[in-house]
Amino acid sequence: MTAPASGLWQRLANDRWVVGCGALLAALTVLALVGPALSPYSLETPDWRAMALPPTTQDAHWFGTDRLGRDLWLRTWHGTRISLLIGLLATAVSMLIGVTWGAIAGYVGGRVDALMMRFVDVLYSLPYVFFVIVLTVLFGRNLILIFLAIGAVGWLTMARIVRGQTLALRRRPFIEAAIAMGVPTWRIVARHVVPNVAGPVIVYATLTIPQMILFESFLSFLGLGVQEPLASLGNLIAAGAAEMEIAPWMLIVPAGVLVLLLGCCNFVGDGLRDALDPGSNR
Amino acid sequence: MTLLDIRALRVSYAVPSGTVHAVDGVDFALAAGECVGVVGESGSGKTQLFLAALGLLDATASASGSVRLGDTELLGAPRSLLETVRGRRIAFVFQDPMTALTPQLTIGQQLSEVLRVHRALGEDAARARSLQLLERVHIGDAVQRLRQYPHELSGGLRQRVTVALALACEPQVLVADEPTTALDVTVQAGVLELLREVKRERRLAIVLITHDFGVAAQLCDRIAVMYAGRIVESAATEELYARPRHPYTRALLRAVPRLDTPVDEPLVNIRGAPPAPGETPTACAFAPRCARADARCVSERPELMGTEQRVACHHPFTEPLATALARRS
Repeated sequence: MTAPASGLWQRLANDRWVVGCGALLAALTVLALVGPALSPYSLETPDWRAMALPPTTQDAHWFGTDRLGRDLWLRTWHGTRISLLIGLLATAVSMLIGVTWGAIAGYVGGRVDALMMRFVDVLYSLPYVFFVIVLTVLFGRNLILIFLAIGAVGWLTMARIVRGQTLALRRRPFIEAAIAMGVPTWRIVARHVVPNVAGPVIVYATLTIPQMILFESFLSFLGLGVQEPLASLGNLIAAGAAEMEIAPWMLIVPAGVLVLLLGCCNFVGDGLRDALDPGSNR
Repeated sequence: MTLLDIRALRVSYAVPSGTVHAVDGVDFALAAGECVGVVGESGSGKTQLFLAALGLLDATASASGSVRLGDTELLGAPRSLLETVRGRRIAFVFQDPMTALTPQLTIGQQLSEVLRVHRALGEDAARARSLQLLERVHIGDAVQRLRQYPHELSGGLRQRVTVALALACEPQVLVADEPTTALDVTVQAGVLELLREVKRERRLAIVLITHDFGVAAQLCDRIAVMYAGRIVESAATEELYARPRHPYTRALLRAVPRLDTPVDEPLVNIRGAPPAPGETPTACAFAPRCARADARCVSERPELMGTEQRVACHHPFTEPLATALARRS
């Protein structure tokens, strides 16, 4: 954002908890990227000798296998990769649209504001599951469509949050001072308003990532999201939930990864918020 | 030569019960290099007057009259024009330095922003100029300060930074709105000294908005006293102090405690309260609180009369304040 990167990193590095969570998040990401390559098995081919095998160090089935004999280590990290990708991309899209939309509506105000926010209200009132079903029926199932569908829903709340913050900011003396110094409007929005909403935006974005991942898994559960044989944490958990009484690891492994992932996102976001706001010393 | 010429300026707000006039027909002229104090209590319209001049009023306010800077009419001017005046030809220093700087930007970033917007300076040139400006307002360790955020600076330093910001583009007029009110007395003195220096060296016209006669007296050549949205008296500083003519000015000056006032003597106050906004008296607004008011004062509003010492009163005082005080005791 605006704080020079060096100062930001320094403040982040002072918080051990955040550093720990960041490291764990990085480790999960690395595993999601290289984990599948460490396994001798493939995503789709079943191991006929080992169906519904609990986690074991033998045969390199570290997380066990599912009921079709597919390796869960491989599928879990592959699913993490897709879930992370969807979560990050959808959040980035929703941040970009939401922050721009909300900041403009809140800062300009008046009729423009009313119009822009009514548009948000209309989108809000669309039953989005139905919306997504219609989209998939019309355009077929693919990942890009899922990004679009999730992103289209995600930015609405972001826009509302940013608009509310901007409305409050507009009355702050430093914004008035910037106006009185003749700083042009677009520059005030970009340099004085947006950095000031960074705190809430980042906090909300950290909530959006898990929300997006959960939304994706919900879609997958309905059969509208990521399709087998591709794995996402969502459809792994859905499959695991069906087997949890006889093969709990099928649920515990992907669910554990999801919990770690979401927990780390939250703590890192919290740390980022503190670091981005130099005035708030806890 | 008149630099800033405000004529018949009115600022009004539409409220459910009618129209409130925050500024009610003010004429105000500022010459190049002159320092004028605008003194009045809260709600007298002193800040509104200058916000209106730069088009900084709230969207719910409406302003009428005329504000000319040189040959440029500012009232009702398009925003593109106003943006070239704000900060470049007329700069503001605000009351509270703790909140007037954007917390997420370093001092250096804020200074160079103004320079880049108005002067189209490159990054290096803006930085060099920012350093100069900080040294100009006597901030030590300028190189280090440029990298710091507002919260790392004390109130006095921040106010110096806002002065540096205001001076960045060498404006013709500096409007300082209660620049010392939020500061400790010792720091106040430093900021006042700085303004005095700036005024002397740059031949900069300064408008000092304050409720503190003491602050105004230290800096200003001329003082205009505002009451209920109007200027009631305007005179050279010494003259105003020696011979306040309007009963309100006189009462205000007597209300200021002095070092030679006996400790046990109660402070003088002005009976009654200023008129509630919205009451737009056709009478003298001060009449209900004035000992000299008569029938004429409640039926006819006095206009600002005179040439050197201008006063809006039907029954102005003529004798010096000291004589009146001496006679009383």
